[in-house]
Amino acid sequence: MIDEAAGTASSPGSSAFDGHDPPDPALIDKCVHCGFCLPSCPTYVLWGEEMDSPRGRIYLMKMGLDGRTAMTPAFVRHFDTCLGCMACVTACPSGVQYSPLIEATRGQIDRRHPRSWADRLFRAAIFSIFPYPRRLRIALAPLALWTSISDRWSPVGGSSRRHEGNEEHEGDQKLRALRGSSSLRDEPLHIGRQLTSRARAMLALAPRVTWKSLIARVPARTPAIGVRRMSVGLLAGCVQRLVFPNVNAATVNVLSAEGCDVLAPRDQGCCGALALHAGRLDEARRFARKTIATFERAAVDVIAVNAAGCGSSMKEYGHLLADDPRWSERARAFAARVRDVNELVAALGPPVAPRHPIALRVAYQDACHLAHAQGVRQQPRDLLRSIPGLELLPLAEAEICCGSAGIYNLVEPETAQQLGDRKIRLIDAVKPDVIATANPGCTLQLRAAAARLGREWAIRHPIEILDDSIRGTR
Amino acid sequence: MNPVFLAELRHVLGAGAVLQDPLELITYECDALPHLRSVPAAVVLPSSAAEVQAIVRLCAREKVPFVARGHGTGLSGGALPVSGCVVIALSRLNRILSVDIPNQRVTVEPGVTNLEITRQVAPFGYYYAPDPSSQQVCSIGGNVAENSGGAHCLKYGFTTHHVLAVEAVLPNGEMAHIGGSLVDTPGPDLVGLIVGSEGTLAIVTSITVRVLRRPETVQTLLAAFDTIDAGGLAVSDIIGSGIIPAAVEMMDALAIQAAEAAVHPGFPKSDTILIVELDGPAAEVTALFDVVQGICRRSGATTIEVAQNDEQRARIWKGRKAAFAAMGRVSPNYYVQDGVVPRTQLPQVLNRIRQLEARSGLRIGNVFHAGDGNLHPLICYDERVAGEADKAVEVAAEILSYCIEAGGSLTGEHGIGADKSAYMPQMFTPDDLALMQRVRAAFDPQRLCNPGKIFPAPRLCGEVPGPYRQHPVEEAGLAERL
Amino acid sequence: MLIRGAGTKMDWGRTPAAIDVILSTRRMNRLLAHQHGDLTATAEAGATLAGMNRTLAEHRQWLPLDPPFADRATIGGILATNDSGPLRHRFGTPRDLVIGVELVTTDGALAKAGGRVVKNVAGYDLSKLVAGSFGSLAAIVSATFKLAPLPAASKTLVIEASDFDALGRIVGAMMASQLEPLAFEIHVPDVVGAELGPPSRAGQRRPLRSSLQLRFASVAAACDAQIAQACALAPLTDCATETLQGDEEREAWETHARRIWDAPGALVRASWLPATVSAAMSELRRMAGSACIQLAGRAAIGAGLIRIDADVRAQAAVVEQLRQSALFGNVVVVRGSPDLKALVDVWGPQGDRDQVFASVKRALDPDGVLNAGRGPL
Repeated sequence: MIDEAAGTASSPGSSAFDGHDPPDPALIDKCVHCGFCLPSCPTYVLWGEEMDSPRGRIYLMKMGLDGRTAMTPAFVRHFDTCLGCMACVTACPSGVQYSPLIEATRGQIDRRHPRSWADRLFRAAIFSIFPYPRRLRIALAPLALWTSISDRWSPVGGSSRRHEGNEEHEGDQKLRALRGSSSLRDEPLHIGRQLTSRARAMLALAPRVTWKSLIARVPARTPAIGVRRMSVGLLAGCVQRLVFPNVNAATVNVLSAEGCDVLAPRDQGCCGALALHAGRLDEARRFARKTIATFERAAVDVIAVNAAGCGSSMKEYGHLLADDPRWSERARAFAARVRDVNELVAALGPPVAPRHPIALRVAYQDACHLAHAQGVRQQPRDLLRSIPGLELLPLAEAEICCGSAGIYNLVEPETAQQLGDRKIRLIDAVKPDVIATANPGCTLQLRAAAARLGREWAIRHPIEILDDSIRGTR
Repeated sequence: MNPVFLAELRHVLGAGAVLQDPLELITYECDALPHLRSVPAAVVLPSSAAEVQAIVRLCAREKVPFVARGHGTGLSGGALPVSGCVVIALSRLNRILSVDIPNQRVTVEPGVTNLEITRQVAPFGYYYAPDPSSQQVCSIGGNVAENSGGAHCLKYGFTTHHVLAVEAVLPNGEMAHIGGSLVDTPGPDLVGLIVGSEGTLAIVTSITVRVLRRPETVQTLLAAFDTIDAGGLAVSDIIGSGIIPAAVEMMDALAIQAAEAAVHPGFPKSDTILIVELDGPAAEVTALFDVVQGICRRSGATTIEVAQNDEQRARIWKGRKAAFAAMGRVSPNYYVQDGVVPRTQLPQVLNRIRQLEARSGLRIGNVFHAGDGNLHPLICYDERVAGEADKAVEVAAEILSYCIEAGGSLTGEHGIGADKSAYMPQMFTPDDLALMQRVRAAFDPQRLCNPGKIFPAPRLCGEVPGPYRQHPVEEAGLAERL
Repeated sequence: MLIRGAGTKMDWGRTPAAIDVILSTRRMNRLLAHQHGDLTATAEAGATLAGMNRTLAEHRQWLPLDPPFADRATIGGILATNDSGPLRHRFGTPRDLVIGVELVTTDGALAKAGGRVVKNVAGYDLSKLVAGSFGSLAAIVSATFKLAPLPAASKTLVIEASDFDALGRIVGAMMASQLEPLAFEIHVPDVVGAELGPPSRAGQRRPLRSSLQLRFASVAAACDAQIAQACALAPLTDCATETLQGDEEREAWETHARRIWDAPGALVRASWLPATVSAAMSELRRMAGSACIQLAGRAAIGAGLIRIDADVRAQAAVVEQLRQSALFGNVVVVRGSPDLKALVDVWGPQGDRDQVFASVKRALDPDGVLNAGRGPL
């Protein structure tokens, strides 16, 4: 029955990978090909194609290692389409660690696969702007200008802009995505289309930034209210601090109200999440070392993170720096002290600060890097349920990604948009007042998708809602 | 593959639904039985019944074999491609067509997952009874092909007992509506024939199933035993006392260990555990559950844990249902077998398996539906050790021969597929198989519809691989091409 | 060639063509095996269901089927016609209980399919293919069934419905409840009489109320509890009900099994969607004209027998109307005079299944030897 010769996608003996950080065959062998991951995978849910499922992707890695395929454009394509949401890790009964596998594969692709100049430029721009808050501030400045202008002239704020360019028929979208999902396209034409769709995506996703948000700062030290329970270092985040400064403010308020000293070191930079999830491992290691050093100096009990993507990468530092003799121990110790803020609030035990009632129907959307990568599902729900009067609504397909996935909605805008629309329709079905989610990328993605469907829900971090409740506002 | 044929497929389906890249085709070379592999010539992804029909018509015209595939979770190689075939992947046919709660019927396309049916009706207090362990991912179309069972089929029956109607594309490309929302379609029970025919008679494009009202009460217990014999005795006594539990499941030490590693269900560390679930009217369940607990104690249960709520029950079932795939935690490779013995023969056959384990040097875990004698030996091996993979296959074959000798069957729910077709002559005579082949020829005289499954290879029953040749049955004038 | 068991259904199906041979299964009447520990039994085609169940009862087990003429009907005939009775509600039809068959085909081969274990998916399930084939494909030699334990106790609730609306509400409420009856029957003695309302003056036609019969079989406490729960359902609160047990209960079920067969007229089998029962009965009433129409069937399954007592033309008209109705389907004449069978096709249209029936018949009985054209194929 074994008919392998007919199925070799390249000359025999060649491998898709070189010797530098290839995916680990021992991890691949853990996959028993049962398929339990399929329904959890956003791209499989959209397209129903084996090679765009976790099982298929792992099989492709295996084929790559076994020399049955080279790093062909089709090979690369099926890894580009992966959101890295890690829902498959949650679903897997065999305990396959997909995260290091996809990171290693992406690392190899990043180093060795020639991309078009436009694609290279686009990706380079992302990686040289987003992880650097100063550069990002400058890049976001025109948006703040736009906001101040449009707020002055338009009575509905700047939101009308987001409705543009989305009248495309659903069927066309599906067809387009199907074409985009697997087969390779006419190159120059493709580059052109890719550029326009990416530019459109960036505009649709562009946050509402104000001058105030761009200059907002987290106080370096906020003392605990009442009896001090612990000292907490806060990662301010890159996008978070510039676009969602209110999330950081709420985090500080809640933690101090719950008896924590909150320290936000001024010299902190990017945690390296963006680079790590894209397989830019060396870059990620640089960011990691710097972040570890910064928080070691702050001498805090735990490090709180309110962006799921950042938290998950910081918890991986031990693995990331395992081969670095000078840093491996420090990285492990650091990673053990990282807590998502939802997790931290739950771990603090019975609340100290009284919660005021808020009558609100809330749909909580799991951030993949919180639910799947960190296993934090119950705590944010408990946190929200602790608010009197708040009704937490059950969501269908809660385990499926909204399409944000780090930089995914910038580099794969069409797929991301389909997932966003799918998610919004499911959220719409439960008629919420507010959507809660614990990651800035998800917030932007959901906001853009909601706007496309003409929905104007507030999209907030659970900690913001808790802050309202504690302060008795709203 | 003929480029004109491929162009026609692309014309019918659109380019995005016809896969030809060799790399992409490789991912379809196996289902969840990855040691059987064969790369298809093309994969098509239809989005409607009409597209399926168009594909089958083209294949019939060009005499191209075709293999239907759902989500590729079969454990018998039922969706294994054959050389030069088109794989018809039904994953995009995943719509819920109708939900009729008052009449307790749901109609879906074949790519809908088993669990999705229950999700659709759960808010109304209903569920779809057959519950294979892979229910979160396996497609209902695949369930129809394999007549899938599950832990609860002891009381509630298999897929065949819950399917009312199918819309099917016959191998000549004609559409047939078989069974119906209204029961008692006159004539032979074609639904019963097609369910379990492993995709060799037709490709179903919609399925109407009956859903059941949730029982008033469910009680689940987990009993631990020091020996598998003691557990087996408890099962016999429960059934012998006139109780038909909703489920009776057993797991041995190795399977317990694997499940524990994967999903931490908190199973007691013991040689054997027995899961017994009763459901139904409260007064009945309460009375019989006491009887069951008494039987377990008398049979030597070391501990009996009763699930106090749905959460605890879900935890027990999660541990049981994850057991197969969880074997990846305790062994680099494993081979799941599926055999059936009369329930009363369980202890004897299990002891033979234990002896075989000692003799072969391969560890064998056992997870099984004890209530209906359906064994799932999990044979652990390491493919990097020379000869172990072959030895695992030999061990599996020997276990199956024990099942047949005990008056049982080669398969209770995974199907014969490509995996066990060679063993069919152990269970069936040439006349038995010839009769089945005649039925098959009535549907598929060209033998294009999922070839290489169920029936043993050429010499044994006259089937010849490669291009179509006249079958002996046709030569004898007993069947003809349509 | 015609295959004959006890001869209880010789007048079913189309008027036969010339018959050269009748193959009687009467001497193949052994119960071949009763594996009581495995809850299975194998019987030869000519064994009677009643005889078989007497033996199985020694181990407090039974083959839970109760088709018409259950006292005489043979296993082969019951399987070939896939015939059933009220127990279908819980246990299904013979096709749901059969797990293996041995067949003789027209080329003289003796072949089996299925096996002796309750769970088995090896090879084609040809026992399903012969179920409902009316002996048109092969001769059944023996069959193996899964059995059920005999229930410890049994009680029956009889409910009288004031009109079809009430009937529909009761059926709907029962189906939506978590009650688990063993049988759930509907009986409409006269579709016109059922809707007459209370007799206002002496001498007027007496209303014949529709009734529902629910049999609960379990441990005694559960039977009582379920009957109490059933009586508490909203649509039942103003209905006349009666609880039967022991001999009274047995008699009620025997009467129910017999009454539609004992009365004169044509009998047709028909199906409907169970939740449409009220509309379906009203439609039947509209069809009745001068005919007396009685119905007995499975309430929650939507299948039963309709007796049409009228002249042949009126009978044929009702059959045709049933076939045209959107509420009924699978209308088959079971008992009818040759005149009726000349006016309407016994089996009715087969839709696009026809092609499959034809090719299966060609494959198994290429010379058309079996069943003399009576069967559905």
